[in-house]
Amino acid sequence: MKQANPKQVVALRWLIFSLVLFGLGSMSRAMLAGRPAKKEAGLNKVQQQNPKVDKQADRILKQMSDNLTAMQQFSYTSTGNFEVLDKNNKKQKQNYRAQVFVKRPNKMRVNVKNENRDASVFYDGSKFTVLGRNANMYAQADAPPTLDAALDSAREKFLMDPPGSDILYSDPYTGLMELVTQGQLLKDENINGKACHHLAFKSQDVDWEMWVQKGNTALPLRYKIISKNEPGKPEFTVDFSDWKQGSGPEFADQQFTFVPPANARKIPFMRLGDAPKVSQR
Amino acid sequence: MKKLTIKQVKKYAGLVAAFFLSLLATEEILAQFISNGAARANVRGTSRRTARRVNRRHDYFYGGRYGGGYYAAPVGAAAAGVATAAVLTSLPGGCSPYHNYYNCNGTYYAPQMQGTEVVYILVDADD
Repeated sequence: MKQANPKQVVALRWLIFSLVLFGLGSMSRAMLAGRPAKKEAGLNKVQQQNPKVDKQADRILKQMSDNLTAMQQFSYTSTGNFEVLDKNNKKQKQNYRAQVFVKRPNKMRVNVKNENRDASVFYDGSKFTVLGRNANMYAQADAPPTLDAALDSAREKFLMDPPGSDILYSDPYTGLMELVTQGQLLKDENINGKACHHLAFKSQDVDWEMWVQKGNTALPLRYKIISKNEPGKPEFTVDFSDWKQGSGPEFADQQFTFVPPANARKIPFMRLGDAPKVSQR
Repeated sequence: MKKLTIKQVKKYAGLVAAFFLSLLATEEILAQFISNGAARANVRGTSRRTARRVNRRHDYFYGGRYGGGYYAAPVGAAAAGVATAAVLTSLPGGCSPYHNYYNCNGTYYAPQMQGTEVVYILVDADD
């Protein structure tokens, strides 16, 4: 075998050196651009593709949102049902009925009932309390200082993620429209005798519809969500009724502060990590 | 042009390979920090809001629950010594209160608030 030409060896050395430079360069560029950017690009891919939202649908939703934002003290009844899959993958409907009282920016109370549950939730701006009325037990935790943050916190810490809460945020429009890819205005419909705009939206993981009362009081009267990527594509539908704005005694500050009923027992919240794998129901 | 010896080719090939391997390794190590940061940033970002409407199985407010099975997070599953014990929505008969628990014929249950529902979690006897 022949010896390598020294020139070639030098050339190879330069080649490797430039490869190293190139590698370092591209790496530092990747670092500067940051991985988060890459990830978010994936996350917001759909959003960036110019969502096709009908202008009227967008306007009506915005109007509804502005209307809700402007309401400082209000109450409504929420009657909903959602589908769950049982052990045999059959869809079952679960119903609930809740009375919601909101006092912006940092108070809320909810009385919620379903088949076997009668509970109340209190948020007074500093504490978050859930009272199980049948068992006469309650759990209490410190809460963030705004309703928006308290709703987020309830979801993250205590697995409470009522889908209807989308309309409780201080800016429902922004929350609802995130990740929306399509939106359109369908034919008008009547909900409980009231004429409504019927809006339909699509996003990456859910399709949802909103029925907004026509006229000056652009309030949501029905909200439907289909989790299309979940097994069985379960639906959630809620009717909002008895919308009231007010300043009556039921909106007094102390109405939002929890006072334990006689003999009520304080128990801990079950946290995310505590949830057992098996249920016996 | 003269050719390189096999030895030299091997040497340089090895160097190049080692270089790329080190690149990969560095990137992996960096990724640890960076993706953690991203995850943290995301908590207050878009994913949070999306999760609000999608992951219905996480909702214990109105009683949403899939397949009769509870959602169990891998993080901190052993917290409070309840681990993967059974959970009841009501106590069996013959239970009496015992400190923070209920004694049901020698089996102890601890009441906890799961969403808006009071549930009873089997407690290991050692606890």
